[in-house]
Amino acid sequence: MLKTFKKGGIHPPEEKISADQPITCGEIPAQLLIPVDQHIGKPCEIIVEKGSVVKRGDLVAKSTGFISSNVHSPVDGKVEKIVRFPQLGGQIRNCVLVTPENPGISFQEVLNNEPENNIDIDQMTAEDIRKTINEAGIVGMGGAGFPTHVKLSPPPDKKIEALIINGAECEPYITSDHRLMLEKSKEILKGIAILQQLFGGIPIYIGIESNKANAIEVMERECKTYENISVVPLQVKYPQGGEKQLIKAVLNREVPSKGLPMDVGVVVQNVATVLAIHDVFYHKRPLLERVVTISGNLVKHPGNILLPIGTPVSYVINKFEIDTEKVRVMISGGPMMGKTSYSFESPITKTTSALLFFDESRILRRQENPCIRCGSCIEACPMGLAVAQLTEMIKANNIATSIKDSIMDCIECGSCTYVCPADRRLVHWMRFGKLMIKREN
Amino acid sequence: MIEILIPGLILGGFALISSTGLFIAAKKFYVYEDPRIAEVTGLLPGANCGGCGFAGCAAYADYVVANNTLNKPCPVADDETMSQIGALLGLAATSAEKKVASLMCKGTSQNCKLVTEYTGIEDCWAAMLVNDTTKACSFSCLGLSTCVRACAFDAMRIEEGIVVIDDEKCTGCGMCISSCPKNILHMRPKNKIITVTCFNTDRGAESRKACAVACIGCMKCEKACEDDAIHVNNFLAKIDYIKCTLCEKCVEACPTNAIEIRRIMVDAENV
Repeated sequence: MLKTFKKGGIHPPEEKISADQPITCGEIPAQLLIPVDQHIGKPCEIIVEKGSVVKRGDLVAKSTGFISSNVHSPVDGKVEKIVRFPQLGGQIRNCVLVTPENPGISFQEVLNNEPENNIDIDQMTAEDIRKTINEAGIVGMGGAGFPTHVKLSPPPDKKIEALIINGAECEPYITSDHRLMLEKSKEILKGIAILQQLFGGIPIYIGIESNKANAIEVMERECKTYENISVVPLQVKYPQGGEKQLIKAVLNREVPSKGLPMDVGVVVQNVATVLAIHDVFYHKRPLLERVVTISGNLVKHPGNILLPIGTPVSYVINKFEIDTEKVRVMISGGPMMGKTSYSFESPITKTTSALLFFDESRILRRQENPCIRCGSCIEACPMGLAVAQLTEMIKANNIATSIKDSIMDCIECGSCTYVCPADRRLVHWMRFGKLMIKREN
Repeated sequence: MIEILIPGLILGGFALISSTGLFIAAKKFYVYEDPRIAEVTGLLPGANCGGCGFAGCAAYADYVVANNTLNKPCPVADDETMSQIGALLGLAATSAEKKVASLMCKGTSQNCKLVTEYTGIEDCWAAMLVNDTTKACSFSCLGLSTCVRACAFDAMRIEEGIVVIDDEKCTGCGMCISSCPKNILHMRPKNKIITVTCFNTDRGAESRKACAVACIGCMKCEKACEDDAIHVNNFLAKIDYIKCTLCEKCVEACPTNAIEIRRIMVDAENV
């Protein structure tokens, strides 16, 4: 019996159509639009101006606080201007427009030119590791974009007993983490070893869903050379990649309401984040690129591609020969929690795990109907919330103080909307309720 | 006979004891409340809009009577009501300069094209969770009625994708201002009927591309104005209502019709 979390969860069609496609490298696009705010927390401060010359790895925007993250330029080039531009999440934010010095050259060539550093992990102190990760601007690459150094700096009264590496990748269509685990398993394990050094040899679990059998096999083989690192195969269930659900599945510990994983002595890191940590130490390069899955029913040849941060979507559209006339929905991230966007010039960010393109046939336009009190949403909710009741209260603009905490516990996974037979926009109402509560405070 | 008498006496006895108790309590715990508070509350509009800064009309009346001052006039009540309140309290009536809410956007469905199809919850804040804008201009009114629901005086309605404010019904309570996630509603004096109907601070070319009636920051209004009352700052014109004399020169000068004269609409039937 494979491990999983108990409460709720759904099993949408997996649609991992790009799982067999190796990670490819593109060329450097003609223009890069580097978003300044790619993380949760305080906005960055832009330190370049029109006309500045930047080198690969140079700082473009500086973090302004503890919960904030640096942004670097992934190419050599010149800053054209600073513009407000719609991001892949729909928000309009500042971007730095960079014209690369030599567009068109293969990105693989750039990567090959980078020297490999040999480092001695045992010599590094926890402070050094945290500082390096902070300066490299690494954020959670699973989708939320929470600065990694914050997660790695628990307050002294919270003892970290275990580290979980998130390779669940429970969202349909996305295969970028799957491919990373197959192709970069050695590097990922080296990155994990750095984190192990940081926390002083705690046990490390790599949670992988059982639909990625080859990844489990590869990772298990690599784990053998390390102590205290093990792979935990998990049952296929959405939203297993959610931090709280993964902890429940792997360690059977429940994160308390309003709590953080560190409250139960656990830190969770995504596979791609760990690889980025590896690159910082072994290649001395900050977070500059990420693997993006290009998929959806409009993509004839779905695949996984390594793209520099700031590559506009139009580059991907040309590369994968997508008919823009037919595109009706473009989603960044998975179809469950991803965000729609309307501009084909929007840049990819540190948190864009996938770009999905769908045509008219995949859109459901249904009207919101009255609740039939079937309780499906309550059964499906992985946080155990009474979604139907909560949304009724939010809708009536009558949020009782006692239920505010439950609303804030919602992880916005969308399971409730997925199962609702009355087509109610449950997760949207929950997000709206969260916003209303935040506005009150 | 006795079957009726005994329960009657028992109940009567209870009634006597309870009423005595209530009478004593009423005397002992009596709190004096100025009767004028109730009278002032009765005179006030009674919409509990909060435009004065107090929790509601009763709270405002309490403040007025307790401090014996009318230095903070009710923004909603008309002059007559204020003078009645003034007469009641023996104070000189003051009245606030009448203000109305005004929308700094003319991005109707013809002027500003829709770029996304939003099918979620009918609320501007909910739409902002998904996308910062549904129209080509990122500053434009979303037209999803959040302010219409916030208005207690039925002064707002959605027409052609943007909100339209009825200046006659608007009492200037300011509830819509805080309800707008785009911050494109502002207050202006009711008699100063010239208003810039744009909030786009992008460069001229970009705003023009996004909307047909955008302020492009061309400075023509600034040059046309003889009273130094309109200034372009950050590619957006802004009127200084203290200096504005309603000469309408800026309206004529504006090449994109981004400055509007809000004439009071008169119903044809009532003329």
